[in-house]
Amino acid sequence: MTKIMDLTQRCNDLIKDAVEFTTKCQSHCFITRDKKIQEQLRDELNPRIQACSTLKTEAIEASKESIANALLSVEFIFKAVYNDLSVWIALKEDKCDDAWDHLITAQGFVRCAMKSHSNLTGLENYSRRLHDVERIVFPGQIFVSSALVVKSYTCSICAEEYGECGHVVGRAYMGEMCSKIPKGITSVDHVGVMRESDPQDKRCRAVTSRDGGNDRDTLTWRTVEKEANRKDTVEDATYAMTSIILRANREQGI
Amino acid sequence: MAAKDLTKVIEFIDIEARCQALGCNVPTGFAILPRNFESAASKSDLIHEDTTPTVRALFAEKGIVETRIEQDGEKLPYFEENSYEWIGPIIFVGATVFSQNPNLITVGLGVVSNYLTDYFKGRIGEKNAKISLVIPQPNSKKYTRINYDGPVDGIKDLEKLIKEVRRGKVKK
Repeated sequence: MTKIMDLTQRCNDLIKDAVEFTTKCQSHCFITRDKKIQEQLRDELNPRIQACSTLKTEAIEASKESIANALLSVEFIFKAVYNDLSVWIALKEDKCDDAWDHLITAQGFVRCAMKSHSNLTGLENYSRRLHDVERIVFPGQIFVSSALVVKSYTCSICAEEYGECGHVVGRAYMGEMCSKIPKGITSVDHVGVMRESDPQDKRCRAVTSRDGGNDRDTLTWRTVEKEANRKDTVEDATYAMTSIILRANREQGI
Repeated sequence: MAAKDLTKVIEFIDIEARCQALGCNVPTGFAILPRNFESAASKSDLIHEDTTPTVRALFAEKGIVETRIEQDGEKLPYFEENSYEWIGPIIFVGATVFSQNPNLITVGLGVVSNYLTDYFKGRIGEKNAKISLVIPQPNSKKYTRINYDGPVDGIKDLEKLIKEVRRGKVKK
């Protein structure tokens, strides 16, 4: 009993620290903030993520699912803030593609935190803020979505066939988020270009776009040299784009 | 928002005849139909929506037993759209559900609707879902399909429309 109370107390202390620290980090998620301060805060997140993971292991060993899921939620929010800080750092390093990916990853981690447990408040606002950053800081993107034929899915919780095991994607089970892992992609049915709707993974997008005969980076608008080994099917196409059509590391809980 | 505004009611093929032609089991209760059930050239072409295993898990959780069209040990592949909206499968609601346990329709729609509320947590913008239901017309070999395309919270309201369609009160 004392051990459980101690575990609960340490979980509450960690959550309290997480709320205070992530709030502090978020106040530095702006382009004007000093890069060194942002890097320092990002470095300070790593031991916190580790501490959270260690405490979660204790909760799992004690079969305390609610505590384990609460800690999973905190872990996700730490990772969201880590990526949020990385957006601004990457922008200052002129790594715009990385900045975009960090932003989309941060959005995904906030969603995961919200699905895992309801212990953290204010996440709806954080989600909205990251969405606003997408709209205001970055130019509008053309998204791409691949329709795949998949043989079956494996459950990330039990490694059995998903759909037969009883677990449900997007739910947290003893400190782990259930995801379905494609097993055997047999074909790509089509690749859709989405101008007025969103794909599941916004990291899948057109990265260059042809403008007046030049291929330009869709984020920086700099001219991009054609890769030496690339062959265009239509050499003199007025419109052409290169895209990321699929990412192997997906958002959890999907 | 009324569910009817976001729905389309159309005629569907004879499920029993189609299952027999494809060499599938004929469903009597709830069953999830492949996305190309009407058009597949053969059984080997059938393909489920990638949300099918999730709906199956949700139904099983609520004790809803599916009378699958797949034979024992048979597995169909899945079609994954990777779009922002949730594209649900075609759910067949067999005659035995209406005659023996019609409240399972409420339970089934409720569990999907509640799941989707959680699924869309933290997503900004429209939270849309697509889902289809196929129901048999009493004392006939006719079937009706209801296509829903709209906000998640409209799914649970489909029950009323299902009843109206079953009574033949909705024009196709």
